[in-house]
Amino acid sequence: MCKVFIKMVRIIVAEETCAESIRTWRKQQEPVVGLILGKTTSTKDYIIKFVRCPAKSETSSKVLKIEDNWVAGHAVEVSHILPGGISVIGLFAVADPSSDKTLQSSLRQALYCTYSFINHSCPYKFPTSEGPKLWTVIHFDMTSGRSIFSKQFDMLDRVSSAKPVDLKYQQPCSRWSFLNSHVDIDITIPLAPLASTNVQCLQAMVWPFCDQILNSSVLLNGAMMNDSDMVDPEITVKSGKGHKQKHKQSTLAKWGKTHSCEFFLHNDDNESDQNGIDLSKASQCIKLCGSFYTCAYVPLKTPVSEAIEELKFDLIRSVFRRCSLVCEELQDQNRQLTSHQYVMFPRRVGFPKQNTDEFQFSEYQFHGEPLEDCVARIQETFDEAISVDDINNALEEFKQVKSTESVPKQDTQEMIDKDSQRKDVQIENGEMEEQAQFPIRALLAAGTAVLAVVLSYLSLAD
Amino acid sequence: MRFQQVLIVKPLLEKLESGLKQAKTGLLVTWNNDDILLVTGCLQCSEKDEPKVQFQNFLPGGFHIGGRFGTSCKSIDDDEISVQLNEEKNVLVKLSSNVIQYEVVASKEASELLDSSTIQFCVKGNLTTTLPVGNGLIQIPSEILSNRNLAFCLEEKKLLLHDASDFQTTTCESLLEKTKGKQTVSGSSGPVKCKILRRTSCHETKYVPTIECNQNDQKVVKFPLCIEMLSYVNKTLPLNKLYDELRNSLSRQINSFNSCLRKETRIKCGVPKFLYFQPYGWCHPIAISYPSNKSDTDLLDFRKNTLHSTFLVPDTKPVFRRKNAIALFPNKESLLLANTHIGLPTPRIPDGKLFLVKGNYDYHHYMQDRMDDNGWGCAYRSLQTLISWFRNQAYTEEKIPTHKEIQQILVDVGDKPKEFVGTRKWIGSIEVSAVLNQYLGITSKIMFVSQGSELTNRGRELAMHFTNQGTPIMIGGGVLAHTILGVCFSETTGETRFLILDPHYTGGEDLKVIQDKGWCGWKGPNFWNQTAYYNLCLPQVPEMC
Repeated sequence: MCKVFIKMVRIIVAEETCAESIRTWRKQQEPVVGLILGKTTSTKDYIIKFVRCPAKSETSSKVLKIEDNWVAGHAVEVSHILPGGISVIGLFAVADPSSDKTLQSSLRQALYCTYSFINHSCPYKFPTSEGPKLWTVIHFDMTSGRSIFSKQFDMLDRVSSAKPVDLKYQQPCSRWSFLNSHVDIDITIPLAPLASTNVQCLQAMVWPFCDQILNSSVLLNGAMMNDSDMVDPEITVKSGKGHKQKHKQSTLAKWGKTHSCEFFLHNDDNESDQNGIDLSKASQCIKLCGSFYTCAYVPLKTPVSEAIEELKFDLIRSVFRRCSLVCEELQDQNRQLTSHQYVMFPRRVGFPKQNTDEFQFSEYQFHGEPLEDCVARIQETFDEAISVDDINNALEEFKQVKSTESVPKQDTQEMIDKDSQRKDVQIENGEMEEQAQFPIRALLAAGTAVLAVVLSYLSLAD
Repeated sequence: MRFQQVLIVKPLLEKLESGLKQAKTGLLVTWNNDDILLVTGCLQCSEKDEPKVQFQNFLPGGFHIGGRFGTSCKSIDDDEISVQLNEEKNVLVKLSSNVIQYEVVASKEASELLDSSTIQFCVKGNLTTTLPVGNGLIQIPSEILSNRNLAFCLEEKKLLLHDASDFQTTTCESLLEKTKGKQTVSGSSGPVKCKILRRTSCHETKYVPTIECNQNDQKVVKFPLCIEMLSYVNKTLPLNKLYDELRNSLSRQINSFNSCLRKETRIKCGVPKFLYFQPYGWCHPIAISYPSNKSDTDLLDFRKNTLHSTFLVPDTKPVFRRKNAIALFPNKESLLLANTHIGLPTPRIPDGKLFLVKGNYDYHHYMQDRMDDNGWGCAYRSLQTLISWFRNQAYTEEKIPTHKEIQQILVDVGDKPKEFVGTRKWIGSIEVSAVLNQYLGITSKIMFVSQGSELTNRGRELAMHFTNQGTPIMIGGGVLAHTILGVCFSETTGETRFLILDPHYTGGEDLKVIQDKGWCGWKGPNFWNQTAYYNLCLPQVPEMC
């Protein structure tokens, strides 16, 4: 008997809107390099959005030049904006077909660089799943808009050869389920054994919490599910003969179930070995208290365990991102965390507006920072035209603190200047706060974005 | 009467009778469901003693201080049970001041009743927290339990209990149901394992996390708070109430920790650890917390003056030492088999009565601990089994000595020359008794038998030993050493069978092989070499607690 082996080519399914973006950029007759956002699974991959990398210089060029660090730095900035379940999964270029030969190798090189940057952007080390981690590069023909090549590389194997992947457009590319949760944190720890730097101090607080998050039990809509259950099971209907048939809908709805999740923490670390406590070593304490918003999207046929993992990863990434922002802010002001009475984490705000048929992304807003600044940042990094009205700022709220307590013990002229600016803005926003702690974050120009990445990497990498 | 039946456990009634005759007073421990009131234990205290809620901390969840015993029992509340003596010195049981009829049940029956009417929850968790230190004293605040963020996870049952969980009309009994195919069957009622978790979504307002540096002078320490708790829950309890029930049991443990902490006046504060004990006559365990930084020896006075007297347990043998405790979450670390005779069929001899070792021993035999002692180490192994008994009954905390250490002990007492250490020389019963004396301070009786055939006439003496001492016996004769774990003795015919544990076994720790091949088994008089002489070492238990 003759056995025939058919080598299955992987499929990558993109939303129709992605094709529209390519069409738009093609018309501008300028080469483009950008990020592929989506989701990789063991069977197929999904693309939900292409994001152009901002131009490095003002002058336009007809020749595509890919600078690894530039692309990778942008990818890190973008990755902070993504919800759980969605990540950078590759790079694309819209360029002249003649550049084909050199383009593939330079995209490949930038791809590995991007993976490495993103991987190092969070100091927390996530458990990795087995098997290859395939990322994609696509070259679109600037004249026709068709893909000249679409290939995948294993990010865990530096010398991996290109595997072909079949790009298809479909609207929607999958049915997506949405998971979200608010996770309270309430930690009080003695200050004494903590190291003195802000980074060490923050990490001592959030690291054990994140470990607990990783091991936590999560309820979906109040129920404890089996790991292998599907998040959004396909509806099966019995046909007349009693055979089960999959209920095929003529068009796939884009949005599946929304699951409200609840986290329950295990505290397994074995501290029972400790027989006695030395009360003379008691010290002052530092407290972290509040609530984190977390969310994740998962495509059809995702098991519960995987969906929950995406939600957990999103939460942990968000916690560490905010720690890094707080550290940067304190570093800018050359101040110690412990010299403040209160330090607020930046809050997570969502965009685009709710009730639109789009994925929700998110940015971080400091207490006292005008939303316009957030919007400007988003426009810059995310290549998305949004306005203040599109921002959903109901995910997390700033706690009102008494003015006398919240003011840091510093009174440079610069601070006073910035304070007065801020007050004006706040009144405009109609968000009257008595005082705020942080000066307005400077608008992140594209150049400083890369710098910030490197800084946060340096400061948080242990 | 509110209850259809009032039951009193037999050993308890005996204890109460003798206690009352000595004018002792105290509290009664009860369990009840809708129909039955079961009196399971008593706690001696004067009527002026601390409030009885303090004593409640000794009890696993589901048991209560439900009454008093004493001569007068004046301060008895309504709905409580009282036990006193009437003028004829007979026991009088009253419920709500009315004399009632009661039934006496054996401990075993009482345990069975509890098993069939309740579900036992073994709850584990780590509530490690940061506590403020005031005046050199720390206390666990009750908020730790009143916080709405406490949750219990029954992993096997895929169930999470928390403040807001709702199970409508189901009772706890549904937890025991297992689905077999399409049928739902009532499952076995082993303890249900349960984990304490922290809920993270209980605040209404979703404020962004804020770091707050404590600017006042309040000082704190991180305090490890490891919970291991046992709770008996009536099967008929609505599942909706299980959360509160478990939380109430937990509060007893926290109270117990706090009273343990109150005794700590030093700068180095001991971390309390909760242990469960089941003294003779009790049909359920009781709970005691000890500061972990104190040894059993440090706690002697507390055991003697508080525990033994409160539980009316004679202070002649260890009951409340750490080694006596029951493991709620046993870890199968021990490589050795214990109590290998359990499960053997009883020998069939007319009027034969069993006299067995009392308590737990480990089976030490050839080739264990990567030690090839085949052909010479049998007496050493028998000695190790004897020492394991003293360890398991908490008479000692000394470790099991190796062959070389045993030889060194014999050199130290002057029994053997220095060159003896490291050899493969045999030892006998006399040496075994010398080691027990030197190493553990245990004295032994030596019994001589000039011929193996005579052993069959020593049945009564051996039966006496197991009744009064209950320790395993080492017997050496000819070239062989064995351990005697019990005898079956007929008062009428004098016929005797011996329960033998054979240290010459060289195989793996397989109970089936050991029992089937007779490495642990009942032997007749022909087991002994009829012409060889035998020496027996009968260890005597010391009086201690």
